[in-house]
Amino acid sequence: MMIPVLLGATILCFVLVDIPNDPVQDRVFEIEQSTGEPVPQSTIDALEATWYYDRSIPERYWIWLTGVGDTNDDIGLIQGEWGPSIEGTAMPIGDEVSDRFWITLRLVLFATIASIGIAILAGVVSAVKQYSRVDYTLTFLGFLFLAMPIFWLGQLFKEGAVQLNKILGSTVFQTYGSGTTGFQGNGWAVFVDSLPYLIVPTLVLMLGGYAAISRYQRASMLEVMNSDYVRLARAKGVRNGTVMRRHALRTALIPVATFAPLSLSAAMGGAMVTERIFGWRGLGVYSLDAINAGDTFAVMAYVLISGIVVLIGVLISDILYGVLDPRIRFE
Amino acid sequence: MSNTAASDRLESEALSTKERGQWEMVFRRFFRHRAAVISMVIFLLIVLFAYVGPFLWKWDYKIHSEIPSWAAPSMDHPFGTDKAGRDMLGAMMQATKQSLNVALVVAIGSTVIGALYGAIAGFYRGWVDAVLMRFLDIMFVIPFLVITGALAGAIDTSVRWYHMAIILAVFGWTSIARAVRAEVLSLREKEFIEAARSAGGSDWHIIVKHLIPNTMSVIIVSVTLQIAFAILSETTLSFLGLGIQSPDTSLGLLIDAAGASAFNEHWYLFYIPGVMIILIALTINFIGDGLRDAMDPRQTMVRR
Amino acid sequence: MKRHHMAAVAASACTALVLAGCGQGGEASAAGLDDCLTDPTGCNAGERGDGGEITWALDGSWGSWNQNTSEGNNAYVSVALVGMWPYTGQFDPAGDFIVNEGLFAAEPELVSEDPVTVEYTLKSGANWGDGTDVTVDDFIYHWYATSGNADLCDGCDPANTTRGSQVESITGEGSTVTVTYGEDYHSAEWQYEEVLSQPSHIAEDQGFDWQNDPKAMAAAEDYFAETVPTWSTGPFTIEQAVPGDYVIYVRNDDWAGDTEVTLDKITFRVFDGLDNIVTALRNGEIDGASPFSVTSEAITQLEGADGTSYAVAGGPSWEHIDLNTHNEFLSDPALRRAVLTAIDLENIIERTYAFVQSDIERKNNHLFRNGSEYYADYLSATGQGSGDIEMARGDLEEAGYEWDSDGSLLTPGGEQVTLNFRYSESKENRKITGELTQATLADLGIDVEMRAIPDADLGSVLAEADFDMISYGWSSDPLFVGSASQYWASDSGSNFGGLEDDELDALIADINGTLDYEEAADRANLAVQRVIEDAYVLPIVDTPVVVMVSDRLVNVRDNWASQQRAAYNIAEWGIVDE
Repeated sequence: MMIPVLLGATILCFVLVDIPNDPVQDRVFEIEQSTGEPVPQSTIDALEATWYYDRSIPERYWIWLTGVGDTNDDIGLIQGEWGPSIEGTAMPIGDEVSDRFWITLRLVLFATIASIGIAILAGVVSAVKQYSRVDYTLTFLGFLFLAMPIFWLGQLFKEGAVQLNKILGSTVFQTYGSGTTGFQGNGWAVFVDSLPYLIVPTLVLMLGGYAAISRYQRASMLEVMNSDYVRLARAKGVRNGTVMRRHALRTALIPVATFAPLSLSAAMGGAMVTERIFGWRGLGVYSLDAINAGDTFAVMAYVLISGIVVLIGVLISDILYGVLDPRIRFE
Repeated sequence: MSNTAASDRLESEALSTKERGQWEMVFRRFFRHRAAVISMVIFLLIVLFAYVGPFLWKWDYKIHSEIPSWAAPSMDHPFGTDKAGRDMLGAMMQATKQSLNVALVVAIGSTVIGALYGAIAGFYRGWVDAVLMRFLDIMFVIPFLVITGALAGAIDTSVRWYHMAIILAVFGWTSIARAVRAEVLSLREKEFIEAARSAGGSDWHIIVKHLIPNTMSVIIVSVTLQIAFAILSETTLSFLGLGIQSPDTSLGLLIDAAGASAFNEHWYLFYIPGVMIILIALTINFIGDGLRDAMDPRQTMVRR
Repeated sequence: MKRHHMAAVAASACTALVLAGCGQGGEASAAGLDDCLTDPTGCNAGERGDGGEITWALDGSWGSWNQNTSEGNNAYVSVALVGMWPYTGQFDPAGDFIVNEGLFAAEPELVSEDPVTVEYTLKSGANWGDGTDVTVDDFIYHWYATSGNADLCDGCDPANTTRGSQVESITGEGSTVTVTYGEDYHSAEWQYEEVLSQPSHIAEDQGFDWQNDPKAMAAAEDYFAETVPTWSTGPFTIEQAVPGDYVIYVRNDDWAGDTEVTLDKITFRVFDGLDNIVTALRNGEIDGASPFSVTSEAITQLEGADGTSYAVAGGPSWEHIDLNTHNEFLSDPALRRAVLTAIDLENIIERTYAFVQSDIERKNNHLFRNGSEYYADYLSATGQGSGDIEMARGDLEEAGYEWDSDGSLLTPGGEQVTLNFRYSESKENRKITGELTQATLADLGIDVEMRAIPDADLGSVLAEADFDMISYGWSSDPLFVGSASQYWASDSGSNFGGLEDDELDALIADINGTLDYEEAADRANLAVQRVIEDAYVLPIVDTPVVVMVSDRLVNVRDNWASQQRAAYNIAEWGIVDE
């Protein structure tokens, strides 16, 4: 089922991205502007051939997908080739997306895990103290972050970090990039190196993502707390804390567990903005640049990867639902 | 033919009496939701600010040579002025109006598309449903910012608010379609649909006159959510340089133009449009929340 | 034999908004960039201390390491590779040409005029940083790569073949390399031609038989496009690099140049846009940058930054308004003249570029910068750009135009004149230029429609001539011989407005017909006069750009005349000696 859906998505995107753009002409103009001299026709022809702009859109899609036909052996998805990027041969799409995938994943994973943690905490507290001042405050904060455009929050925090650095008198927080340029070392060293870069963007993405889950958690917690078996446990005289931990929370986590994989894909959208603001060379920024440049094959790579991530999220969510649902487990 | 008409009349009478009672209850419940009511008032004030404000305020959103550049907020310019010599209160009114325009068109457009799509899928089931749902999956898989950004980039003049509204509406209806379909799937087995069908009502008639009105509670809630969604997407795309372009304006463009001025003397350029976006999205969310509670009493207990 | 063909250009230092501050934040360092106006080649000079590691920001990315090819012809990679690339030389901010001290012992010499034959004398010890000397083969390699000739390289896509296609032969003897051109080659700029790019011995080591097999030659070019160049003919060697992201240099101890290099490490790092660069500089993440744009918002931020200085001056490109001669109305030279006369350039500049550069001047010559030795103002006398509506109206009346009762302009045939004005949507100054043009042309009774161009589509819009009036920029390096023919020759692909003027074509051909630099410049000015008569292109200004530097750096200054901008003298950069 996944494959036809992905095919449909790529066809739609291919057509919409490809039709309005003519990167060959744009490139030729750029060269003329910089060299101040005309570009020879042979070079224009060579560019067209390199980027496969010497064929029609359906042909180009077909060759992108299959690589069957007259190619330079750099295209054909089913043969493991992503096609040429108009950025240039030193930046092959395959290498770029695989490097950038981990950068984006690091950002998105940290942010998602942090936001789920906070969301569960906030949701449970809210539910247990229903209609108290704490509940209202948390609910309001949730709504507030839900209403906040992530790019605005990002700008605010980035500039706040610069001001904080000024007060502290040293560059504690970095505003640009995901790690020291050219840093090399083992996993732990890389992680420690990346901390000054990681904290602010993760915070931004986390705050942007937690609100939805926290409301979800509160709702399901309330539902469980009002359910018969929790009431029964209470009636039997089991202590309140134990009821909460043993029975209520455990069951109430199920919807969140099934919801979390889906929120991963939402975080990928948010990562686009965060990466742009904080200069992370992740997939999101790659796709934005590719859209602006009319780099169709690069956009396709992003569409494909993010599509797979979303579908895997749905799949995990379905599986978790089956595994965790008590009506299935306790029957 | 006359037969159908008669049954129609009967039906609609029956429905309307039922509806009146239902709507009354909804109103009463909604007005009990304090946050929602306050939000409603604030939101209406924002709407007045955007659509009536320009008639009352002396400056418009354009550059005037007699306006000093980068003046801090004062009595003359309550929201300050920008570099080019633009009164920011006037600019905010225009930007809010354009952003609200987008939001309203998206809310209505995507709801109409989504409701019809979902209702058709749910009503016909079978292969129609299967095909429509697969297409929905495709739309779900495509990254929203990529596709909307690519389309906005394809417009060969500067992007106006209506371009953006159409693009967002065309790609923003999927969640509504799912919600309406789920509702229709359960509704289509109900007696009054059976009745309408046996009275010879056409499919289209049943969908538009019976199924969709009965999913109104789902639809109204999603309209409010769509407004918040549209405001946030529009401003985000503008910020990424893939949305509305000058000479048109929007709240996202104003923030983008403010740049990194959050902590310097031009702070007002950054915070005022930001707070406006938050206010709109916040109040809309509260209103939606209140409506949901009011329309679906079952959910009041487990308010989401 | 240094040719002083550009007089000290008014590389203005101070900026508009803050007349007093003049770009000095925090404690004023001894020199700073303040003197760049009066001393373009010596400002911010100072004693250097030993060692130091710095980071320099670039405002754009690249995806190929081979500058010969169309994919690799990119301003940012040319800055990123400034520490190691074998160019012939650099123009300094005064417009003087300085040959590459790491490669050549002397200036190139013209040994014969017919055919043009140029002799290069290699410096003893000029090498590729891996123990191999630079030889005649490397010259031949560069020729093949840029020849555009399938017999020499089958499958190369050189960005430019103007020189490569004209080379007849290259021979070498000892440290002397002689390049002989074909009979069509008469460029007065023969001494500035690039003659080297990549090391031929590395191509051979990689198994490419480039001298005999044209296909292998193309494969070698592809190899150099994909591979990080770790060879070097410059003061630094690349230690580590990721395309489009960063280049880290360490000192090249094998360099044959005489300048003492003090910095241990230079990192070039790509940032997305001016705002991020300014924020990173304020946050101490970078030591400087010379991005290709500047905004007044950025200047406000730079004003508040401690320990840095900045300067704004005319950069390596120039702004202009073009008319489309194939437009049904603008095909009439009388109307073109009236339109250009009605445009009020002083007013436009005051409301746009003067915001970032207070001392900016209107550009009055298409090919030579204001202040250049060959600069001559033929424009002012014609009234073009003066905003003189009365004069424009008079000209139109003479040509038989009339106005209807609403004041709309009618052609002699009775048609109402309407035009559009196109600009890249993110370029605010071009937009304002258009809006002001719209306002003044309304006084002439011409209705102008403003139409933005998505940023990526400027090239297509120009190539398809989908405009009536348009504002954009051309490169304004000190080289001029090829420019006139590219801009205005009837058969040029870059003559976007479609001007066809046989007399102008003849004048343009003449520019390329002499080896005498002065003579060529005079002939270029004749072409400028002719194109002004044609009322085709109206220059506005040299586009202002900013250089920003941490106070701990010395010998760093902007350079409009070099594509590498401030990085042109990277060997001299250093940490201030305290």
